[in-house]
Amino acid sequence: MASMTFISQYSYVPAALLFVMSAAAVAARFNMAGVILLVAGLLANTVSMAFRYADAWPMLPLYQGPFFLSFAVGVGSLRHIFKEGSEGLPRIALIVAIAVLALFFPKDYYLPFFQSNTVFSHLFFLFGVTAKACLLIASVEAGMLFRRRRHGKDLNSHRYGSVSGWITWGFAFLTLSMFAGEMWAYLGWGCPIVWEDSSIAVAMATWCYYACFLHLHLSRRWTSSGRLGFAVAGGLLVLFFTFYTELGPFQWPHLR
Amino acid sequence: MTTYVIRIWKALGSIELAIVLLLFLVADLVWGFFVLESGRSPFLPLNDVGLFEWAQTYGRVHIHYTLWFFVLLPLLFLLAINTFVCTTIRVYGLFKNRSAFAGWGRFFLKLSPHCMHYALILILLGDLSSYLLALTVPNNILTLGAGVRIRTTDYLVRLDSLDVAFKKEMRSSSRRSRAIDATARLSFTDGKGAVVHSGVISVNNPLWFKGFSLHLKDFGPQTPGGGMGGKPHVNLIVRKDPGIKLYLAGTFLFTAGLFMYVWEWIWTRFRKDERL
Repeated sequence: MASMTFISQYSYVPAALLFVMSAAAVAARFNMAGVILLVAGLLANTVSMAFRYADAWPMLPLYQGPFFLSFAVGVGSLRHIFKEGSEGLPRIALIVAIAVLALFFPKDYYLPFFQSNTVFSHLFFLFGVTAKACLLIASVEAGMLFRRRRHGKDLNSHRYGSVSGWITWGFAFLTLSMFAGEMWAYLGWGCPIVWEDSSIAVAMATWCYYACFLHLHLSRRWTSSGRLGFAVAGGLLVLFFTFYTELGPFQWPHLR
Repeated sequence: MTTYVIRIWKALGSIELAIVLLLFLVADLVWGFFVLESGRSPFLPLNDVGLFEWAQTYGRVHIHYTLWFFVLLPLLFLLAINTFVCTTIRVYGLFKNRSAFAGWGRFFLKLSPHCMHYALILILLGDLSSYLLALTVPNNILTLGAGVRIRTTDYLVRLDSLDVAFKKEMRSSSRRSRAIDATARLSFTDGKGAVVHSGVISVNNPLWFKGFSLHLKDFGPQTPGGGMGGKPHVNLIVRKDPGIKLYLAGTFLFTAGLFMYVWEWIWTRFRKDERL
């Protein structure tokens, strides 16, 4: 019988392939086919996530964030892609980028540790993935707004509101993720903050960055273009931290 | 003189200062991230020995790796001052214009960002108190029937029983079992040997006694019959942390403020859509 690890590694391959095919279909203006392929990819991604969780349950699957992130970004972007058609290509490109990197640069396999057997560790992880997805979607949306403006179209207030809306949700989930992590650390080790772990610096840097974004509209020095640029740069920061900490060296996805 | 004080007060609470401080914090934490990723981390003893002692020993000796942390502390201090002044000015303004709000609910929701701001100060204060005042004994290994003294008291803590829960691994073909949780019964005795308290501790479920919290750091056996010759044992972290209540109060207040903020955001959007 194939081990659970083998199945969870394999099951992500069709998801990544379907995401790539979806991007190709949307680029070729077969929008409906693109959406159907994306939904199929998300279903395959769900199966892969279920196996990864079953593998570690009741503990937390370690360093699996990127595999869950492609799903969360896909679900968050689905409605927009359906409405925008080929204009929504940057959104699918983001999902493809995450999926391909997750597939070929997985972190080494780590056994889950028993302190992760708590609801707070799972909330920390799931809220964290949701937060990153919201912040990345906001970044792509801000980039698309920039492109519209370069093509002489107005920055319409509804779409700017959508960027700040995604960031508000992202900030809320990031905060809840950090609090869940602190509760976990307190119950497990007696200290809510453990400074020797670089993930605390990542979480705090991201939190401060988006806390700053949420205050920019109160300053007259920051125009709407400046705030959009800030949102785009925030997405790059989130991507960098995700890939730097949760991805490993290049390897084929165990296709042997 | 009064004008001068008012000007300093307003400058301390300015939004521009908040933005600059937050950006400096981001830069400092990114620096800290790379230091921590380099694998040289003298921060491990920080939670055990407290901030003062740590700063004078590990912090000073490994200054190349800890400088970012020493920069972080004044930045957080300034952020706390800025947050307090800024939010106090705005809360005062809100209460002054209370009559402009249609109802108490709307007014209450407008306080949500300030709730989060005050909560942030509580969290920072709680954290600082923990680092300055907490007492930590990181390794207390107990075997069945054996006890250790809780530092600074006459009380002994003793391991009465240990039940380990195992789970078969799904990932390997051998399907070995390994431990996923443990439940230990502890009893506390006073200087005369009389049991004054007993309770159960497990992974992520600490036990509280006379202001101390006991956390299960490690246990054995981790595999059926394995570890220390199969002898059941636990390793406990014992802490007395006066800052934790402040810290947790801040966390709960921030969460409440956050829910109020999100609720107001949804409500405002709903009202806008209704008007459209």
